[in-house]
Amino acid sequence: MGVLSSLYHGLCRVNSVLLLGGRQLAWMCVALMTLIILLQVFYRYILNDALPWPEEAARALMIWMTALAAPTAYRYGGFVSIDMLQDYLPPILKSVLSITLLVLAGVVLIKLLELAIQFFGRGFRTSTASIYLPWDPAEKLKRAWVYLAMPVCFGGMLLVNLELLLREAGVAFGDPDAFPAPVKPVALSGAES
Amino acid sequence: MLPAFLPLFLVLLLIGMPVFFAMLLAPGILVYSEGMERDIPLLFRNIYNGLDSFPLMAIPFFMLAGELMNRGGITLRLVEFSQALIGHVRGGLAHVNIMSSMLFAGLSGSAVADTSALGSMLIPAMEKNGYSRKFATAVTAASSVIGPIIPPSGIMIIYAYTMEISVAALFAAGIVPGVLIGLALMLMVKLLANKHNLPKSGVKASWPERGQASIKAIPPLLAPVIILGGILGGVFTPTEASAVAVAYALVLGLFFMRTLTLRELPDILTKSAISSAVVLLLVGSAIAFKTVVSLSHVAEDLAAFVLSLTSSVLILLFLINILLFIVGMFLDAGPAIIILGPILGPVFVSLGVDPVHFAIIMSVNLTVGLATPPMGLVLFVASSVSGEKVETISKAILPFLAVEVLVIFLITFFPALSLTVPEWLDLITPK
Repeated sequence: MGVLSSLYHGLCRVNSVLLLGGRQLAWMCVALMTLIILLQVFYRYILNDALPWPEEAARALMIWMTALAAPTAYRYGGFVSIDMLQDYLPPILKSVLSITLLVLAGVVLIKLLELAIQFFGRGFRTSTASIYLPWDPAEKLKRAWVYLAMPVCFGGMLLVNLELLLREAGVAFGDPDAFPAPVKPVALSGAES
Repeated sequence: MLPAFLPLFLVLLLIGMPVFFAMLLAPGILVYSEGMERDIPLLFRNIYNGLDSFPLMAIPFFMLAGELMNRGGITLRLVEFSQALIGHVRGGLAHVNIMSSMLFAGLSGSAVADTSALGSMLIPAMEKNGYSRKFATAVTAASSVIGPIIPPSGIMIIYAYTMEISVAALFAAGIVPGVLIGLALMLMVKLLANKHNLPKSGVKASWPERGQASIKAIPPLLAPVIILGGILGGVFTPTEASAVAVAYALVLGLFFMRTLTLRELPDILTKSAISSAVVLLLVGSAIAFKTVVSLSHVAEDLAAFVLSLTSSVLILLFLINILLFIVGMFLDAGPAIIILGPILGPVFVSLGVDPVHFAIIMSVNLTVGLATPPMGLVLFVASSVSGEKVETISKAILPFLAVEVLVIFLITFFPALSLTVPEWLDLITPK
């Protein structure tokens, strides 16, 4: 059980750092998205001259925002589920069910990660329609850099899944106090869907 | 074999698998078992395509705008305005609560935001004024469901996107049902006020006081005018309107009311990023799920099955309302819309029900479900805001739920209640 606990705490620390970084970048994505769409509104309605790139750039930022924030949501129970049955089960059965569900979710995430990596690779074959590189105005951004959000999202969620699995196993079969839940970040208190 | 993914999906949901995973696992298993592995990348591509959407961007923006308005003291001005207008009648603060919810609904698209914003302010005020805490909490929870019915509305954006109908038409169609629910709740408060001798909240505001409260309420009340006027008048797309709403809320909070500071912004932005990420991933998985629904012909099979029960659309709508109400008791409105929209929508449209009308039936019913026991999210939020037990609120809310159910049936059987406004605005073609 000591090995499990060390593994859990190690992974918890890694995830805390990664997720904090993800959240910091995610809010910047939201801020940039807002600015870009407001710029679009300004150009279209005030200057009567629609810019070609804001819509695609804002969509790319939204995809990155989702990818960077989703692992945090998953870690702190933000993914909607019906927990009623689990509330009626005896503790041991509840743990077995939770572990089974986490394993199944892990399988889905592994498959998603595999597909996401292939998807990222294919993205080098095509370019975005309207986003040019600032340092080379003749060159468009490769779609791969937008697609990269997918492996980041599902990879991050897989790490969280592993942490949740270790914690569930530790609490079920070991000393629950040795597997404390990670502390919720301030921004998440009272988060709603 | 393929249609079997639906029961498998339901089992996964009921044993507690998060909706996002269940929506991918059930179809995935069956696609594999049918030897159609080549379609798996297509499912993945659909998740990505589901996320890569300009209309969907309105969701993070409206969430952000709601959060900014909430922290920026706008709620307080709406409550003061309602208080000056109707606070003096018997049961006045309960009426104020409902009216504030209707006004707040024009700014926010979320029932949960409404409950926490108005509840934290009005429940203690009502208690101080002589109302029981359970009554105050029940009124708050029941009226907060107006949030996603009067536009803007998060769930309507999701429905419109997954079912490929116009957001503007849905927004327009939600106005009358939302106002109807508000008025029906006020009527119930009036009945209860007379029966239980509910308190009056004080002296009637003078006209100058009312004028002052109205002037103070103009800036927040201009927000729905800009948002809805812009969308329904065809000036802005919903996404652009939502970004303008963010800018407006920021300007109000930072410079006009000075209740927001720049330092608070990262937390507010993070919160909206996290809440939106969950919804957006769900929509992505719903688009993948929808592909398998159409591959499996489950909607056609279901249509054939329900038609074998009865051929009367009215009876079917009645039955579907019961089904939706039960689903709403256990599942949040957003995921329920995402799951049931692609299955039920085509069935009823093929039976001749207007797509916008059916969308409103689903949205209103599932939103009311947010306030129904045992699993209504709004009940839990109301409980945490007020400190009252969920069981106690569940009992106190029953008279209000009864009138809301009545309104659901009115909306169901009188399509004109939903369709007249979008028809007036030329957003849909009259039949």
